[in-house]
Amino acid sequence: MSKVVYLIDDDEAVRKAIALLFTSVQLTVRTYRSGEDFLAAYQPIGPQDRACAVTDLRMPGMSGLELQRELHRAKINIPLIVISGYADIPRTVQAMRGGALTVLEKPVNEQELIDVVHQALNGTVLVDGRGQAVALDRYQAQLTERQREVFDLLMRGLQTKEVARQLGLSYRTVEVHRSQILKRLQVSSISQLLKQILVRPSQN
Amino acid sequence: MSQQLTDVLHDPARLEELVRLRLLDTPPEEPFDRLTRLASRILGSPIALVSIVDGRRQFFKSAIGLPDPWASRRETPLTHSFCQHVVASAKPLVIENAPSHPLVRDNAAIADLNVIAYLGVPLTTPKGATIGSFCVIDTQPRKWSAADQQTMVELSASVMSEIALHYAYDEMHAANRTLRREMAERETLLRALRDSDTMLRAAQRLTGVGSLVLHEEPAGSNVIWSDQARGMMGIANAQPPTSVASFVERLVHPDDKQRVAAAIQNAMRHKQGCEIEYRVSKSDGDVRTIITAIEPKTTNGHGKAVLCTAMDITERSVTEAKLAEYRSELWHVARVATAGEMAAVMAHEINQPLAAISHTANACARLHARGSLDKDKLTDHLTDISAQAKRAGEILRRIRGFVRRAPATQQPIDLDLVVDDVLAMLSPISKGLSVKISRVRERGLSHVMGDEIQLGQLALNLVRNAFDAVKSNPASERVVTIRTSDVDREYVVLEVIDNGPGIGFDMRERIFEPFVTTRTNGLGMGLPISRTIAEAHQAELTLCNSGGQSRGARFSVVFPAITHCKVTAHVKGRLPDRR
Repeated sequence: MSKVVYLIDDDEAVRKAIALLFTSVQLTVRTYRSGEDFLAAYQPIGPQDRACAVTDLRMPGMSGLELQRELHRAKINIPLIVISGYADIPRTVQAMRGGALTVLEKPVNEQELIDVVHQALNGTVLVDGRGQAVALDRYQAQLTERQREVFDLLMRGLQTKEVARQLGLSYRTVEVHRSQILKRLQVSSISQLLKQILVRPSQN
Repeated sequence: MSQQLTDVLHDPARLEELVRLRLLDTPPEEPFDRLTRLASRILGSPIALVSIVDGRRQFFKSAIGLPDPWASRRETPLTHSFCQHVVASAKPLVIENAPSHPLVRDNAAIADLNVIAYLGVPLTTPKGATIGSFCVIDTQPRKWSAADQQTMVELSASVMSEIALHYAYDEMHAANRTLRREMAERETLLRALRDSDTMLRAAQRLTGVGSLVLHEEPAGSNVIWSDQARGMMGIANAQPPTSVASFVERLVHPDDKQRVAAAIQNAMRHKQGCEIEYRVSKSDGDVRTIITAIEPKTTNGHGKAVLCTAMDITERSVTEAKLAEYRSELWHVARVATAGEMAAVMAHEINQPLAAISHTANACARLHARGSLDKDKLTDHLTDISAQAKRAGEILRRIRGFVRRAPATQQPIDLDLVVDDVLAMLSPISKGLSVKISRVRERGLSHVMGDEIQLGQLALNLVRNAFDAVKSNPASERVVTIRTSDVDREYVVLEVIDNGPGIGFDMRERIFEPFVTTRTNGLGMGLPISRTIAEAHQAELTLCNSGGQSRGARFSVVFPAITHCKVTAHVKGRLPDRR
């Protein structure tokens, strides 16, 4: 399972600085000077892999918003973190509506950026079919550590059998965890849970 | 008619002499009649004539004994003329019986005038032109004696004297008339001159304009200085200078001496007028700004001189300076407003290096805390931080430079550098709009005389307008071209070309008026201010067709190139750095 941050920013100095910041917290980062470059270089990630993209909003050529649309069109469902240059409310709203995990305003608080990237990479984010990213912290908080591991994999669409194999547990054990999770979250099935999560209006 | 006869009668010199003598078609006069009467009586012939022959007829200045209708007509055609033969030969013609004389036997005068015997002597002017014949005629055959011929020759001399007298009298009259006319004209002219002088004095009194004449060499007591000129230069009670050298030495401000002397010398040498502005130091210490029109004086060879018309414009130049100050204030306000409009973009631009600095420093702190901060890498990171701090400083410098309020200066400015600075300042905007900037710099002159901040304001206004113009294009088709070039090393041209929708014909001139804008959020002052800035730089800002493209607008500013600018300043005699 690999974890990677794609960083898209046209400003070389800013790109270099944010990349260094990610490196300093031992994140793997790949940098691109434009949305076009990123899309051209993008390789689909495996089901186990985690990735997220951090992009500048204002760039010559493809803007952050356009990149968001392109990702959706290409069905690249990775969480998108947008850094907006200045208080640009209409664009921020647009980015959030487009399914961005969050929009951070420059100059970005480093810890905040690192936290949100970790959140995106540690599977606590669900990206729906419309490219919508939803943080699942609210649900995870109600679960035990083991239950959370199972929950994360189930949320990523894995079957019980696959979850068991990946976590090195027996099928039976996973089934028990699964029913306990449903009970705690007060839903009757995983699909009902997904429905409940995904029809909620997107929010940070 | 024989060829020789025709040649003589039509000889241009002879005909000209006839005209000059003014005998043809003049009334009969007693002195000529007296001579024909005398000839008729002495020779006992019924008819005597003073016959003047031109190219087509004979005219009788005097005729005695001629029957009508000839007596009243006073002329006959040449078909009836014996006298033409006297003119042709310039010798006396003696005919005893015409009908049998080979020369005249077919002449119509025999039948019509009953001319039978004829004695004619030539009338020849001192210049040698034979103008006619003095003759006596008989109506029957007659022998003419040598005495008869001699009488006619002597009388003809009297006829010629009479003609000469007549001519001289005429000439004298003409000369007299001319003289009277010229005197009258002179009188009129003098009156006009006196009136003109009176009006000039009154005009000088009312306006304070003065006049003076300066000579190349001192002109002694020949002083031509009006009261106003003396008053203006503070020498109302002193002897004014008459030579250029003493004028410059005594009155002109030390800093302007050389320029004034050169301008006057130039006007004298090249006989070409000019205007010059300079300062005069009055003896009481007051310094006045004077404008003087210098015209070369037409002289009758006694050395060169100039006519000067001078006006004290000290108050005017103070007003002008005040006006320039207000205008510069307005421009400053407009710059601040422009900067305000761009504040958000500029804040973003400043944020970029600040973010880079912050992130790099933060990352270093984290690496250091983990103990994995490589020493060599640290140097790199610190270098990056330093570079980004400088970048932020540079952005601030540009903005502060732009909104700075500084007195306008006049110095050589490289327009290319101004344009590059403006493009750097606007780069976040062009980046945000995905405008492709095409910077064309043709080799050649690029320096103009002017003020760096104002020129930057002019260039920025034009480029920002171009950005606005291309906004309606798809993002991939937004092109703004900025070209600098020179024309014949005489002009420096700045062109800003966009491929936007262009400007409609009806808007072409109106866009230079205040408060006319195609933008929704603009005040409409950009172009009017740009035009006044251009004018303050002796440049012309115009909107042209985009040229070569079917779309878009092209604004061009044509500046005098710097060498030309210097020449203009010199010729016009403007004060350098007056403000």
